[in-house]
Amino acid sequence: MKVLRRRPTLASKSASPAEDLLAERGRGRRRLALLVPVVMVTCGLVGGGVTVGRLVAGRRPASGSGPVAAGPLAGRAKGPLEQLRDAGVLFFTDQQGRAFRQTADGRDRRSLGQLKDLAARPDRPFFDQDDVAASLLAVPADLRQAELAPDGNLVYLLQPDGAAAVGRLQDGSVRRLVPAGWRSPTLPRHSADGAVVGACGYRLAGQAFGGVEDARSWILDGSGAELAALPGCLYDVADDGSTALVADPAQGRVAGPVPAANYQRSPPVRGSDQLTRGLRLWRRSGGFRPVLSFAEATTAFQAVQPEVDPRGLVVVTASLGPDLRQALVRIVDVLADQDPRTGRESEVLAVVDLASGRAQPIPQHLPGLAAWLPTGGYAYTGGPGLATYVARERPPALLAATLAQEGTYVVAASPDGAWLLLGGSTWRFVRVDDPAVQVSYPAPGRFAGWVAAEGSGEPQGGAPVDRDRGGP
Amino acid sequence: MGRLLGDPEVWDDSPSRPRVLVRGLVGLAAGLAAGGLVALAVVPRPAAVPPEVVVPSPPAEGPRVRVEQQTLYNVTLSAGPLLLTRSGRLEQVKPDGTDRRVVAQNVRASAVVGPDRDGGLVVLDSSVIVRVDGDGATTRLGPANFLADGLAGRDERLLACAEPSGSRRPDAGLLMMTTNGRSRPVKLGCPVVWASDAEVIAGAGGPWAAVKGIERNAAVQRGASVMIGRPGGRLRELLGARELRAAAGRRATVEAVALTPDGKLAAVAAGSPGRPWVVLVLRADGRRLARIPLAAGHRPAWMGWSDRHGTVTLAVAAVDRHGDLATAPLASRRGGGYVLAWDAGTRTARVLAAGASMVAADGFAWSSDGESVGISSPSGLLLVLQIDVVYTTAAPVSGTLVAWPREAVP
Repeated sequence: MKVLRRRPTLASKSASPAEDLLAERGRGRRRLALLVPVVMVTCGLVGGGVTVGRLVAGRRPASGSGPVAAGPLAGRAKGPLEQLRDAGVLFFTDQQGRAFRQTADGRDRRSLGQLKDLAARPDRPFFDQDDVAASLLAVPADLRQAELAPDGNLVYLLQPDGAAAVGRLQDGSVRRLVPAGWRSPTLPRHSADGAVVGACGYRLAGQAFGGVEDARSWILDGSGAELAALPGCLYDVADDGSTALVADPAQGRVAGPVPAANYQRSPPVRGSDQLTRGLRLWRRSGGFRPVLSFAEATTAFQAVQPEVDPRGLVVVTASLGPDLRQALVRIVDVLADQDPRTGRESEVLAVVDLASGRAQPIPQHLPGLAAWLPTGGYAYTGGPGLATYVARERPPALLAATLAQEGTYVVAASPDGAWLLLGGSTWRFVRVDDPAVQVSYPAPGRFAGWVAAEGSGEPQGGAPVDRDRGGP
Repeated sequence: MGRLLGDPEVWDDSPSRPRVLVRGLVGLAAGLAAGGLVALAVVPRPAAVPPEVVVPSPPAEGPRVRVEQQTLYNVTLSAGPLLLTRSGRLEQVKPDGTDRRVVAQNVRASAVVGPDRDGGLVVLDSSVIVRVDGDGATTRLGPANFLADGLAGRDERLLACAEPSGSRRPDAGLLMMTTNGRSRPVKLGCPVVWASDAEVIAGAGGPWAAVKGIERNAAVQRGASVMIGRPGGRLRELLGARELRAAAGRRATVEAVALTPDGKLAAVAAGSPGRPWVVLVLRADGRRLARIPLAAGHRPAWMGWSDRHGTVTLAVAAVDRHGDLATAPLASRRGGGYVLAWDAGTRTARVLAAGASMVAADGFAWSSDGESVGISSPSGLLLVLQIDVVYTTAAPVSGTLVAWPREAVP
């Protein structure tokens, strides 16, 4: 049976009281059924409108912000500082003689110790006659005041009396490398591990305006024992300690003594037969090998000064290349009594092939600093504040043109050879394979070395340090 | 479905119970939908965010020689305009980059003489001598079959040396007029030179030899002596082959010749590939004044004399020719070099430019006031002002430097 439900009609509403009662009982529900949809529609309108409205209006994206450089050099470094993260550890000193280390990107600065010998010496006279005479014997490749070994403890320096010395920051001990009464024109030279150390020493003839009366060099081993005492000046020690680049007295005899030099802007200097006219290699295994003759040095110099008087030509700087096949040599005309800025060329850099003895000049106006890179290339400064890099079999590339403004006094390569530091009031790091990549920040102190990060800060032994012992 | 017969119809008249919850949910849904639609239509959209276009960062430029404004100003003030070739055009521009204008179109000038009083220039364009008038019109000068390898001149006269080929002798030079192109033979070979303020010409003379190692896959004819004389007059030997080879090596030949403006001094660059090159400075009477050895492996690319208030200076551009660089064209030579200035009065020298500035250097010239040397390369133009101190500046000018005349082309 099917039951059909009929819709209530008006007539049926008032049919009977019983029916009215029934109808009255459902009225509230019907009202509720009317009210609830209205309320719900209203809520839906509001809720839907707000939700969709917000979605449509959306929120504006926050203003973009790039990565913010952090760390001790934040806001002071220019360039991609993060690329220096693995570039090793730099040593530097301050005016008080304190030595520090920090990573190339400026992190992890630590004090290593203090030596009074490292402190700036304000009592030192502005003009020292000894400096003039010594500059005819040897000129440092750069103007760093000290050099720290990779262990961050050994330090190579010049004592206030001008003697080359080795010190230890941890116990404050210092040891001279030349006898009392001798001075040194440059910092000591050493092997990479510090196991072989060499120093050049000189004495002047008389107190005033004296020339170099005697020049000698001493080479010591790790135990402090003397390996050799040589006539003439020592210029460099190979990284492995197997050889050293020293003056060749035989070439001095060929060239004869350097005559006295009269200078307009400084007192005259007496002549000397101790200045360096040629170079030879000292071998730890024994013997010597000539590498640069006086004639070859003269030929190289004539490329920049064709009619130079050869009597005044001396070698003042020489540094061995990383492969021990070449050396960077600076030859100076000590008789050129002119301001090199306004007068003739009086210096030349040359690359000397140690096997053939040939010197290839690097013609450059006012040659300045020079340094080898571990990769076999070299960099030099000169001219109008330019720094140039020459890689093997590659044309010269400009590294920087701001040396004059930044007072650059040192050119140093990173341990891996990827970066070159031009150090002055600003430390400018240049990527040698892409000189467009440069990082610079204010110099934290006086540059004193750049070593690989591994092992730095840990004492590794090395050169002997004995404050109580006398000279070699 | 069917209905059985006899089944009564039953009607349920009780009112149905309103479904409040269903109605509410339906109302809510309808409200949400309606509200959303209304909001979608009514709510204002935010301003469109500008598209964020990610442009690759420009490659950082390597360090360059800086433009020193004071030096550039001084050079511009005292020197004339530069003549440069760029993109097949001959252009004239001041050292500071101002007053640039095209002098001639479709000209690849390797040498320029002039401008003369009429404002005309004579250029050596791909072995053809062409006169360029002030209005840019060009006229070929000289015999139709004459191919030149070098050009010098003064006022309205030209001295051209021949490009040796076939039956043409290497010393088949020509003296010609720029006005009408009339020419007469002169027994001079390349290189040739004309003193800028004197009636003196010079060039290479025999014996001639084919020299390998200067141009790629070809031997070039080079003379072993230098001849000097007056234009149209009899030439005499300034430097004989025997003297030249005694000073520069057994196989030496002449690579470049330069005369001082007054013609009283000459410079001769000589040597042979693979051997050191030298520059010999001689008086016009043949007496040797100086011997300037160039750095090993370097060959002269240009020589020029300047006269600055009586101070006569020779500039020599020596470029690295080691190994594969020996035969590379100047503009594509990836090697260094240097420019040496030798003062004839003090007989001393100094280096004006070196290193990276000399990589691919392809144009050199003295300024007419004798104070500055211009060096062009693909990386730009370098100006070296050498008075008391050597001042160096880059110039905002590009192109290959051909000449640095005293006067501008009108």
